[in-house]
Amino acid sequence: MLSLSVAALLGCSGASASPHEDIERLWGLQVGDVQLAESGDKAIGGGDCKTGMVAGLHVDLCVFKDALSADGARVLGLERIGAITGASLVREHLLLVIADRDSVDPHGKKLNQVAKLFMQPSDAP
Amino acid sequence: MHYKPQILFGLCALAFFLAIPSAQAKGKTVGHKYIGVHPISVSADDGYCVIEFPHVHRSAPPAKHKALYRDHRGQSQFIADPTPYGYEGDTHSYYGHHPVAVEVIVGDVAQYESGQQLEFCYLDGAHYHGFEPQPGLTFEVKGGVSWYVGELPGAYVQGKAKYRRGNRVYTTINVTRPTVDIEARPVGYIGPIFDVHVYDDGHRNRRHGNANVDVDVHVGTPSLEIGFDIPVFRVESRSHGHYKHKKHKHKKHKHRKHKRSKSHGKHWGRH
Repeated sequence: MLSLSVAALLGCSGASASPHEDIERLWGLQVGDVQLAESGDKAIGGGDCKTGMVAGLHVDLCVFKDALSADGARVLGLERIGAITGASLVREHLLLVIADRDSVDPHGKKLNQVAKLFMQPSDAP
Repeated sequence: MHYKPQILFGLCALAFFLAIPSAQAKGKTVGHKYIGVHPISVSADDGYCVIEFPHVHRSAPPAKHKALYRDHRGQSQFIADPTPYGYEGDTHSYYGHHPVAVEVIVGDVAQYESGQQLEFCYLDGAHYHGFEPQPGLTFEVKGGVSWYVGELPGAYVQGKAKYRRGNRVYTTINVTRPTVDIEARPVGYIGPIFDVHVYDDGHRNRRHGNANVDVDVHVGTPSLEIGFDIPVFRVESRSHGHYKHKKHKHKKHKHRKHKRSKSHGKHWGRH
């Protein structure tokens, strides 16, 4: 319910400029600490990516030109994670790669929360 | 310059072993793929992974838990009872073996239809799942418990030997089972309805199995009851890894009922 309210608030504000900013703001409101910066040459699969930390988890958030490109980069996301706990998820033309490199989330609660906010439809009321 | 063959062989072997680490470094290591929530390890104390989405971990399910997982498109999906592992989500009560429509559970489709992946839960007796019976499968809810009343196909029989081992997991950890009134079971329920238990008063020596046989042996108490090939009616409330029989009645063919010493108290039927 809270996430829907926040999404509605964000939708009404009309202040968001990019999918990155929308999701970052949502994470900031609901999971706390968000520190992302442009990925530069570490971008995944040629996407427009931001890299950093969200709630103690390593995150890559990428925007692709279309859903097919984003889906194609999902495997690259898994390779970026390696053999640790993480997820490489696609929603429309967006890719989220999230990894618990520092073992701060033993039951995956934070990871699930971050992923759930990412996966919720952008036009949620 | 001439080298002895042994020296050449040694140099080749050395080069081979030196090359391995660099090859590994170049390789793309990917973790084991899971879909949905699952126990973190064999130990119930380690808790539950609550990631609902496809995700990866360092390793595959432990060997002891393999029978509790099914493969869904290269991903391991836990389809057994999550409650002993600290699962905090919704639970649904079931009795006996039943099909599980994997694609419905993961959210790919809303209803099971022929041709979709169908797996089977082989957990004996009353148990919980984190998912509801899937639309498109023939369940009947009675007494707050879901009973599968449809047909069990050949695939169910084929998987029985492999996956029924999963019941052993639940004999080694603390388990709370739904209370089930077996007398109130649906007419159409054709699955196994009894278990085989052998336990002493300290619950240390349990045997557990299933067949159309009911054996209930209390080692340490001077009684032994055995019934063969008959419907067994009882109310079960299971906790701490064993059944507590609130009511137990054999309709007929009670072969023996006599006193036995502790040393002769073990007896169980087909496994």
